[in-house]
Amino acid sequence: MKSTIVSISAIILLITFLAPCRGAAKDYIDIDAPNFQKFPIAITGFTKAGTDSDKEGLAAWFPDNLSKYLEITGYFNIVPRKAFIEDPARSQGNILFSDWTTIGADYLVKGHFSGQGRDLSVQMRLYDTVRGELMREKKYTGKTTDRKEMVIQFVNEILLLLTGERGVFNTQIAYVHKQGKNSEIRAITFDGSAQKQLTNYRSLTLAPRWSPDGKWISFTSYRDGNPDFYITGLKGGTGKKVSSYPGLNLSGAWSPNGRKVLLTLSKDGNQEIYAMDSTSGYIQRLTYDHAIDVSPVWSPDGKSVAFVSNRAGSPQIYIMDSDGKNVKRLTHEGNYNTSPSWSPKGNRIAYESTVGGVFQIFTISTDGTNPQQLTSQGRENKHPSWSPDGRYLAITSKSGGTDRIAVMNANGTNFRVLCEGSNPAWSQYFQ
Amino acid sequence: MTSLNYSGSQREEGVRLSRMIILSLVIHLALLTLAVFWPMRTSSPRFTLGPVYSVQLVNLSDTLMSHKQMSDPLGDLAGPSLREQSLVMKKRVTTQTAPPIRKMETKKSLSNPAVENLRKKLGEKTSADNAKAESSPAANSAASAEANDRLANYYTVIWSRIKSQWNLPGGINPKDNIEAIVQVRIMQNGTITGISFEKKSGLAYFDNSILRALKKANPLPPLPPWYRENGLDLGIRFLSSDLRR
Repeated sequence: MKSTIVSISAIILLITFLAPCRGAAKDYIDIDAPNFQKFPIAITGFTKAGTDSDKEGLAAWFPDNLSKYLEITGYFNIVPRKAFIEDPARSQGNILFSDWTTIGADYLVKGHFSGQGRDLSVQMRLYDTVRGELMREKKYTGKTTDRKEMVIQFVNEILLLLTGERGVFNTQIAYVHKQGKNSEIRAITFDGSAQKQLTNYRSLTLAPRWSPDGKWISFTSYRDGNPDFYITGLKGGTGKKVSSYPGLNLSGAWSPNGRKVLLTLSKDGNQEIYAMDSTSGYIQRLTYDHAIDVSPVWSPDGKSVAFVSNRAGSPQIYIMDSDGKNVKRLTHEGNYNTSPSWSPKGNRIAYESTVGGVFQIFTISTDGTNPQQLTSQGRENKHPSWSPDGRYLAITSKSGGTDRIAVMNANGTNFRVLCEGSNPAWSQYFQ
Repeated sequence: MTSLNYSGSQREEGVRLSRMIILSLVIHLALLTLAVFWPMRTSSPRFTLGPVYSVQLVNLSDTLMSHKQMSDPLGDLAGPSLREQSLVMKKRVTTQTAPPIRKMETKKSLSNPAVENLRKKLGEKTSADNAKAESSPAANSAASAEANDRLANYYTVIWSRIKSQWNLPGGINPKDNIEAIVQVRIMQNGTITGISFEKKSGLAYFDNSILRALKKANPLPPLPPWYRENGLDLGIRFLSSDLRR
């Protein structure tokens, strides 16, 4: 009898404990994609320690430059200062986050600096106003001349937190700068703030390509009459002629490990693709076709090469193994597809293709699917080159008869002209 | 003898007491069983740890939004007190940048409006439940379907509310098909509590964007008045399949 009572009691208890399990049954809803919206961020004027006057106007210089560098990444909308409703008397030194969420600023940067002579100490803070919390605080000390570097470092911190990767401020874009009938190789920073001339051959010089370590740059020049292949160091020097076969010696991309350089040579009759050992100069022929094969680039893993060939009657992009085997056609839409550039993430290839007789920039998956046009008509856009993080493309954009170097986000937004020039080649990160 | 008689009547009383206890337990058991299982039949009980069904909601089409009944779903559900919030939501939607081409194509290809899609799935689920519960009366199954229908309307509203608050710039994701699943409990008054990740995306900024969206969407409209539970447990799957154009 006792056991019966115990059993029944156990059943009741079991049912009693099972009852709350009803709460574990859940429905699921899918939210398929976020809204494509830039991060709205407010940057206040910096405060200064002490009673000295701010002769250099740093209280405004810091927010101005933070805004500038955040904006050129293409991921931020800077909330205009006119919209600020923060009242220091009311907040009394505290941050009233509702003052910022009310005006649509999801993020807030505040800063404080102190200086004596040329010494400068800056404290910058990033707040998440929605969640009402400090996300990052950094203090930089140095000279007043270091202030731009301080701003860039904090912008990189913000980018890392909000987008998962730092910016590409410490990269350069090499390009061809036309000077009358001649052209020289130059390099410009991502923000367009500094330019440097890398060659002075006083001849037609073209097709710059960076070594992976950023110490060398290769190009083709008609300096001695024939289009020969040269390599020069960034630190100076006149450069060294590396390949001078009869006919075309056109510079191609460096392998990811820097041991090989791809070339287009016409020494055997028509343009074929070769891989040159960057140390010994030994060349290996990769393509054997009666058609023209040009513009070779490596895949990021160094196992494949994309190139342009007109073997099917029109210029199209092909992919082959790094030893020249297993050639496959990549592009099938459009009748003029050239200038391939392989994304550093490896999943897409950018190229130029004619749309209504005008070149525009496209990308395509490496399996040949999903071609997407990034630029639209109104100007001609050519020569895409990926940034090392794969988030931007440098291109040649022609309008009014002038070639200009422009950069844009990899989805075609945030188009920004840097300078006059053509044939951009984006470097890796500089240390 | 007296003592014997006394002990005999004591034994009889003991047996009677035991019978009464058993009877009481059986009655309690029956009542408890009824109490436990009766409401569960009407609210589609699911004793599973994982998802019973997952619904794919697509963007509300213009035609759906222009329908009178759906033009102010928050107002219908939450009453006049939340109408201001619904207006804010609409305002934000209008300030967003135009969707990319691919997204528009997706809209075109998905001709079924979100609610119809959800209702269809819920309907399938209800039918399946009814088939299993052979003893359930037809009236209950109809009530269950109606309840799920009404819950579908609520899901549509909160889906729209959360989606409108989930923002990221285009083109920042390193790969396609990023997914994170969040578990939330929605209280009767619409407050979101107990947010936890069932599955993280592996990208801190992506997961943070989800938490921010939920924070901005909080509080959601109150649960429908007919919903008798204290709170609603819900899984929300955030996908970025078309984040990278």
